[in-house]
Amino acid sequence: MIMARPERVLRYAAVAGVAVLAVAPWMVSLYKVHVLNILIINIILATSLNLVMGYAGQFAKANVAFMGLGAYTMGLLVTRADWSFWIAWPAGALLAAAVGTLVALPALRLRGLYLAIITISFVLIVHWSFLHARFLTGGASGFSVPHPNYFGLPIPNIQATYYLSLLTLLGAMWIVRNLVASGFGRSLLCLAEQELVAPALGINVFTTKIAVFALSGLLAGLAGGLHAVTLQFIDPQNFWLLQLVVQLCMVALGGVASLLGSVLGASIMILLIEVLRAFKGLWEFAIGAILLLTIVFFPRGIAGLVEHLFPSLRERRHRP
Amino acid sequence: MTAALTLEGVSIQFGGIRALEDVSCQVPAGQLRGIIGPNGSGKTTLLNVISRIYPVTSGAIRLFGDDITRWPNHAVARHGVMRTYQRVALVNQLTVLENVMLGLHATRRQSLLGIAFCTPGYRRFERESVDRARGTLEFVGIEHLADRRGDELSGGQMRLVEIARAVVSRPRVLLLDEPAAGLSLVRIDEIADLIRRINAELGVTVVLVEHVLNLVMSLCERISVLVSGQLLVESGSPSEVQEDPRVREAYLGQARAHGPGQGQGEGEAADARA
Repeated sequence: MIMARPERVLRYAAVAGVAVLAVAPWMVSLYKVHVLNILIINIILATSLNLVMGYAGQFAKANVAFMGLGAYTMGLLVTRADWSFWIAWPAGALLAAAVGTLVALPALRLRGLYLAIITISFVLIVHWSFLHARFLTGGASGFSVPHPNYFGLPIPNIQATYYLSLLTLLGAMWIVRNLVASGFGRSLLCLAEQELVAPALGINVFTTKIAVFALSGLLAGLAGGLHAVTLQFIDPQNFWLLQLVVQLCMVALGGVASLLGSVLGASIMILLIEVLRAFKGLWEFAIGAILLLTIVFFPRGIAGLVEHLFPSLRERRHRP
Repeated sequence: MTAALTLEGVSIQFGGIRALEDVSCQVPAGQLRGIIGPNGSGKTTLLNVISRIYPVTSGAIRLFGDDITRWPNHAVARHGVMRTYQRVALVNQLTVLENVMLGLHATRRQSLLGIAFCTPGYRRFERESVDRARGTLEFVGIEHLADRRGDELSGGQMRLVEIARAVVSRPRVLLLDEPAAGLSLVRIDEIADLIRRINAELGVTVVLVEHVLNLVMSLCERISVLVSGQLLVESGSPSEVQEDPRVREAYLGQARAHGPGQGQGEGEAADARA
């Protein structure tokens, strides 16, 4: 038997995965289309969190707040100000990116647990605002969001939104892959491992941190808007600490500083939550167990394990 | 001759401790300058002050005439000051080649938009960066390690990678902090040869802080001696420094202070034995 080269296997697997996702809406039930859409959105979220936490090594946990800002901004602009989704959605993401640059400011001084505490407090404040600005957000009961206008595209709205998510995912992955395999990606890893050495190599720590937080906020904001039109509903519960823990789990399980890790971690977590949905209360327990076992047995996650077994699959940080 | 590096009355204070006191010296462009001194005399602090990791309490630092005293430290690196560390500081998640490419950041950067959308200009840029990094690996003699990761190297190899990372951008001044620490004698000879070639072939001004005195004496044209944060000798030839009684006193006096006898006679006996 001829042994296939692992990097080729991975490339075929990626192409096959995209092909399956592309035809899936016509093969499976509407509910499964919905689950796959949520899965796609969560891959974007895991990638966003992995950029800041994995690549740049910043212990920041503001991701769900960026996501919420993207969702609420888009939703409010569409429902209250009658904006088109196609303008409101990027506007929400840009707002999330702008707020991301503000969250980067404490990260210039704080590290580790202190940064985690500050960013988690930020999540609490944002969540509290969604909950209590009732005149605007409808408080705990939330508000519904219409489907985007697909300009007479001859496919049902649910499938159209699914393809919008898929295209966003592919675009985001292409851009992030380009960035992590560049001087920018290398400086992020340098920040993570040798923050004091970075400036002595000419890396501007200030702008690099701002850029990575803004990028992470942008991706999470885009994902938040997609999440809202997928559920056709926005309420504060989706941007709460539990969601944050789920996203952390995706990154830890999949593997820090790895795009493959973000994809695998998000996919496994979302499918697991679906499977365990029938057993009430079980999935929270499962998440805790997974997080614990991963940290003990594969500290670099599934991607770390894969790279250990097949060193040629190591993520490249330069263009060959 | 233009001075690559000028220190004018540089002092730095940490709380109550004066780590450097009124240090003034000049390193002419193209020189290979050694800095020696007993443990704790402020050698690494001096390098940290030049690469602007520590802000000075008073005094001024000039790089080819430009006053860099208040510059942010990444700007100093971009202006052509690169360095290595006593404890090697590679990025373990990067390969050797990528670690060396990190050193190019000082002189060659691309816009994030160009990178994100992978423009042809950026592709060319990255290809050139790879070529330059490979060229530097060859210059240092470790091209066979290009695809290893930082944590898969021996201590000596790590030092060579760090030097490659520091010279890949063709800096104007290279600061080396104890490059020979913990190396075998054979390796020390290799490092000495490499430093000489960096200085002669690349035309880089080198400031070398080192405890292995043989290395400094054989390598450096001029030597500065730092004792308790003060320059005892601003610039002397190796033989001048070796014969200077104050230098002997500084090194051996320290040994005497730790030894059983504290008298003057004991010190002179130690002197004679050395």
